Amino acid sequence: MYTCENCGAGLHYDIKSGKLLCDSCLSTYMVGSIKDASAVEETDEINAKVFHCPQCGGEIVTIDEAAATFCSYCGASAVLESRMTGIKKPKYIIPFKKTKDDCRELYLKHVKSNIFAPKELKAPSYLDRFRGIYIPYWVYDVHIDKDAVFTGDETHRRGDYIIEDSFKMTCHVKGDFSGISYDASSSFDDELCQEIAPYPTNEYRDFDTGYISGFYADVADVDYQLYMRDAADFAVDNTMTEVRSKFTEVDSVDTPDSGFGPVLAPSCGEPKNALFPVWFLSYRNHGRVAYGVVNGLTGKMSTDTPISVAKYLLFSLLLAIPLFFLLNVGLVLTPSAGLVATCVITGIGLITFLVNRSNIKKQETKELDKGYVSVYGKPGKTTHNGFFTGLIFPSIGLLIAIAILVFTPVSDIYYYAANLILIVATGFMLIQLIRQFNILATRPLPQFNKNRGEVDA
Amino acid sequence: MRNIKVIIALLAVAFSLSFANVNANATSLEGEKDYKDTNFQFHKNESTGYATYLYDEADLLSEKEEDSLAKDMEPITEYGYCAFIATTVEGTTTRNAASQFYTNIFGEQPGTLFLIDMGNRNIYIYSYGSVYKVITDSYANIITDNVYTYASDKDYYTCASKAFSDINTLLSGQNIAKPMKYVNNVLLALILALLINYFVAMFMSRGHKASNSELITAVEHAIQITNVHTVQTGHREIYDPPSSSSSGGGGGGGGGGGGGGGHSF
Repeated sequence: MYTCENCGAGLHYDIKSGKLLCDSCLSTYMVGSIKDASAVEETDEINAKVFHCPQCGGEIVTIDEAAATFCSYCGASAVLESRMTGIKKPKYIIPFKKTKDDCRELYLKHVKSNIFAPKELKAPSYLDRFRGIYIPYWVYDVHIDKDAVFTGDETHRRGDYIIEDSFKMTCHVKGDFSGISYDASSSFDDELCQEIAPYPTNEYRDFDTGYISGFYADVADVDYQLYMRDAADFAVDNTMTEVRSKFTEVDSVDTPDSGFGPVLAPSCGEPKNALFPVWFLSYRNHGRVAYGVVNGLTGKMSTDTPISVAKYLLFSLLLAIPLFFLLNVGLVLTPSAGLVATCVITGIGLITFLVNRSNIKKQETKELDKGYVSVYGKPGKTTHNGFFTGLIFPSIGLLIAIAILVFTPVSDIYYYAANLILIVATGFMLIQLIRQFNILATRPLPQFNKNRGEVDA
Repeated sequence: MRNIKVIIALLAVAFSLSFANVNANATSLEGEKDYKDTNFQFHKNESTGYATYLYDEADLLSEKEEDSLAKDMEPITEYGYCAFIATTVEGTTTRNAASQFYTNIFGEQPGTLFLIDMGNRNIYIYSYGSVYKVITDSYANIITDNVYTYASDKDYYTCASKAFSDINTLLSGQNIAKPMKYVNNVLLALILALLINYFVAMFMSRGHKASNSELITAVEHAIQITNVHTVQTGHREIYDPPSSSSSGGGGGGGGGGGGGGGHSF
């Protein structure tokens, strides 16, 4: 913890001035100009207090005396259990540039633009829960230095003939990439990380404990080897863009079965660790949690925005009014044509329902979160009800409607009855779609139950 | 003599039910006077020059009903010709039959024709010219939808009478009941609104991963490609003459013309 040389009060990193600020006497200090009183000399570790959430097992650390009264990962409001530990100093840090007020403003603007967002997301008390957290990242450097051989083709027409020419291309490829970063915390969802990226290398600073004074930090628990291949692939893909631009004679460079990786043979050394700034907000509702995450450097945002069913129904009713008048102006559907139109809408709804089911499965099994799966394994299969009302009922309605359309009874009553059944079924299906939407727009409560043991960063 | 011309004209229409060959030239009916015969009536509105034609070949109406229906049709002659035909169409659709009947009787004069087709068990309203601008396909569908149940109950007179009443109402600038239209449109608007809002919500909530160009800009990098050499290793010529078929021109637009709508019964 940093203390003021004037009055002895605690100091924290002030985002606006980029200096350490004393809340008591307003003295300011350049970061690095004063020592952390609790720092362990001659080691590469810093003393920190680890807060452990008893509900989800999530952990965050701080070097300050402050207590944590809620968990940013699961949204639980409880004084978190704490213990002291030594954590390894990272190599780099990007200090916060966006203040909490900037962040609140950005978030509020975003939420207000979503007419279906629940009003709770705009409440000041909720927005106060934005917490500045430094997220650990692995920063990879990739080098390529290789004489490479490629093949390619060029096709053109000459008179009645198609001419196909094949080429062998050789060149020397040299590429240096520095600062390819991936989040090193299993608690921080990879998807969120990809949406708030990037963190430019020119903003890196050598780590100093002063930067994290007044903030929290997550701990690195993902093996650095996990993203080495991704970093190498990133370098290879971008190098190949450059390579292709050099071979103007060919239409395309052939991709080998095993990709361009073996051709360019990128080398990726042990990464450096870094802390990047993130403003983090969690909204807990009905056993699920929604995150609002803002890049503390650029203000880029990723938000899970569930929708309020009441607002959805209200706005649908309002939209139905002009739609009704619009339809009345130019459209007179015979009962059979009306039934066909409803069938098409139901069909679109059914396809959406099935796509959502597949996406929910991917989300719940953390298929796209390599960091989480590498530490905790794949979560068990989660089942969500709604199969009958979302799929079976409208499918039956659709079959009835098709039968009516095939047998073409004379009386309109049959068409209207089938249309009514189909519309009721589609209404139920749409409610299930909204339910699915809110499942996709939120996340299951995290369970970081594994004992992390020693922290690495 | 003139009345005979009328009968001949309508008999030609009757014969055209077989549609072996429909005479494209309408028989001129100008100057004809009122005529009444079994299953056939012709009345001319002297002030407008338009006339009503009633031809009940299928013998669906009693003589009294024919007289009454002819009177029901008269107001329409303020706006154009008006015809009622009850017959058995074979070998073609009710729509085609109605169109050809109309052309044979009225040529390109404005008017409307109500057809009861016992062959396909359909009723159909076909209109042309200025009348078609009012009695559109949509309105023809609405009217036939409003009256088809009478035909189902074999009450052909009420069916035709109410159809002509609706046509006259519309031609005189008033509105007719459109329960089918409103029921359909209310339900369709509701379900469409729910679906549209779902996709709007989805669009507003989706996140965007950083693009490759954003990511590469943030990474310090340097790429050098040197000693670039290209050697041709193969050459192949495939005989493939360009297709000689030419694409057809677009179809011409339809001219004003006529149309209609109907309903089975």
